Amino acid sequence: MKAAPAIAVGIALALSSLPGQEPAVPQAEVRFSAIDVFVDSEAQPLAAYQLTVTAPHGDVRIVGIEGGEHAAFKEPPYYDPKAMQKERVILGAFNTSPAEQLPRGKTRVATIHVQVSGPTILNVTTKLEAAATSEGHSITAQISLVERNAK
Amino acid sequence: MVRLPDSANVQECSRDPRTDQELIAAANTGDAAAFEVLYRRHRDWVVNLAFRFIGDRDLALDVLQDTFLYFLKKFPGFELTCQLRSFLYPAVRNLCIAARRKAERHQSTGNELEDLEAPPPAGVAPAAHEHLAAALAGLSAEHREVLLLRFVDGLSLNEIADALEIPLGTVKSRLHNSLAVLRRDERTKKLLEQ
Amino acid sequence: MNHGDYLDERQPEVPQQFIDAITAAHGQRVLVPTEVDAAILDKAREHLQSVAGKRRIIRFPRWLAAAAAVVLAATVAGVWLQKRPAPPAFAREDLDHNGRVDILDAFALARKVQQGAVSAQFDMNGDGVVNSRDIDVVAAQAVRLDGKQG
Repeated sequence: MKAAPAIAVGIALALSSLPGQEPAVPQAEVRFSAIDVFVDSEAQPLAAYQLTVTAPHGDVRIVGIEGGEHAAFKEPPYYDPKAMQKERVILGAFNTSPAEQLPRGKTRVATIHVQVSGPTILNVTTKLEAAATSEGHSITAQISLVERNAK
Repeated sequence: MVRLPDSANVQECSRDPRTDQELIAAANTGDAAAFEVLYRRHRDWVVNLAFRFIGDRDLALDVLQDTFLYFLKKFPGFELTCQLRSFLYPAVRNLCIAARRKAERHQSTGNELEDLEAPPPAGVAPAAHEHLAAALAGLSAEHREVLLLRFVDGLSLNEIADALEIPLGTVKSRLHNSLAVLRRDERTKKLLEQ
Repeated sequence: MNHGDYLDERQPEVPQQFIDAITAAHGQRVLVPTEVDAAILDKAREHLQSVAGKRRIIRFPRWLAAAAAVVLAATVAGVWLQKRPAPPAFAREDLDHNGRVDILDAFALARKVQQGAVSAQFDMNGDGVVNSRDIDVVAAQAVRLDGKQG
C-alpha cells in the first residue's frame, strides 16, 4: 500500500514524458469587468464629487467610463481621455440642480469598465478628493467600489 | 434576389468617389448635387435603422424624411467631427422616439431604447434565425444595440462609440460580453463556432 | 481567437454564418418610394440654392484696408509698450483659491454661469463669452492625470 503513491507518481511522470504529452500551459486569460463606484454622502445632498481610482497591481486597464444611477449623475463624469488603457483615472462630476433633486445616502455615481489580463484578482483602490453640497459646501463622504458581474 | 435597374442619377451617385467630408464641404457652398450623393449613400441605412427601432414602414419613412431635413438645416456651416452615421444615429433614434410617442401616445419609462425597439417581424425566416432573435432578446438593450450596429449596420467600433456617445472601451466590453453570452447559449453557440 | 485583442477595429471576428443569421433576423429592408426621394431632394435643392445665392464677395476699397492696417499696428505697439501685469497668486481656474484646481472650481463656475454672475475673468478659453465651454476647461484641468493638482 505504501508503494501505491510512488507507483502513481511514477505513472504520472511516465505519461508526462510521452511524445505529444506537453505539460499544460495556462493560457493568458483576458476578461472584461465593470466596477461600480459608490459615494455615500449620508444625509447631505451630493452636488459634486471628485475621486481617483487606481489599479496598482496586476494587468488591469481602464477601457470605459459610464455615468451613475441617479438622474443628477447619469451622464458620464469628467475624466482625462489619456486614462484609457491606463491603470489610474480621476473622475469628477457636478450638478447644479436644487438640493431636493440630488441624491442622498449611497448612490452609484459611475461605472468603470476594465480589461483584466491574466489570472489577476481585481485589486482597485479609490480616494475621495472632493465632495460638496448644492451651495458648494465641502462635505465628507464614503466611497466604495463593487465589481459587477458581467452580463 | 432581383436587382432593379437604377436611374442614371442613382448610378452616378453611387459612383461618386468623394468622401462624406468633401461632399459636406461642397454642400456648404450650396451644391445640391453633393447633398443628393450624401442622401443616396446613407438613405437605406437611415430608413432601415428607423424600421428596426419602430417596426412600422410608414413611420420609418417619416423618420427618414425628418432625419434628412434635420441634416439639411445644418447647412451652410455644418462641420462633421465624426463619421456621418455616428452623427445621424442619435438623430434617427430621437426622431423615432418622437414618432412613436406621436403615433401611440407612449409614455417613456426612462429606458427609451428598451421601449423603442420593435418586436421581431412577422413571417420571420427559418428556425435558426428565430433562435438567434430570441437569444438577442435576452440581452440588455444596450448590449443588443452594439451587436446590431456592428454586425448588421457594419459600423466600426469607433463609429459606434461616437453614435452612442459612450467610450470605445465600453463598446468593446459590451460586444465581448454579448458574444460570450451567445457562445454559451445552446441555441446560438453553433453560429459562432469557427 | 484572442478575445483580448481589440487593437484592430475589425475585431472581434465572427463567422460569416453568424453575420448572415443576425442580418436575416434584424436586417429588414424598407424600400423607399421614389416620391419620398423626390420630396427630400426637392427641399434640399430649394434650401441649398438659397445658400448659393447668398454667397457674395465683399470688397473693401484699398484706402480703407490701409487705414485699418495702420490702426492695427498702433494698437499692437501700444499693448507691447504697456507694463506686463504681475502674475496672479492663484491659477485662473482655481476659483476658490485653495491652491489647486478641482471639480469644485468647475462647480463654482457652473453656479455663477447659472446665476448670470460672470465677468470676463471667467472666460477660460478666451472666446469672448463665459459659458459651458469655460466650465469644461476648468473640469478638464481638474481631472487631468498629469496636471497640477495643487
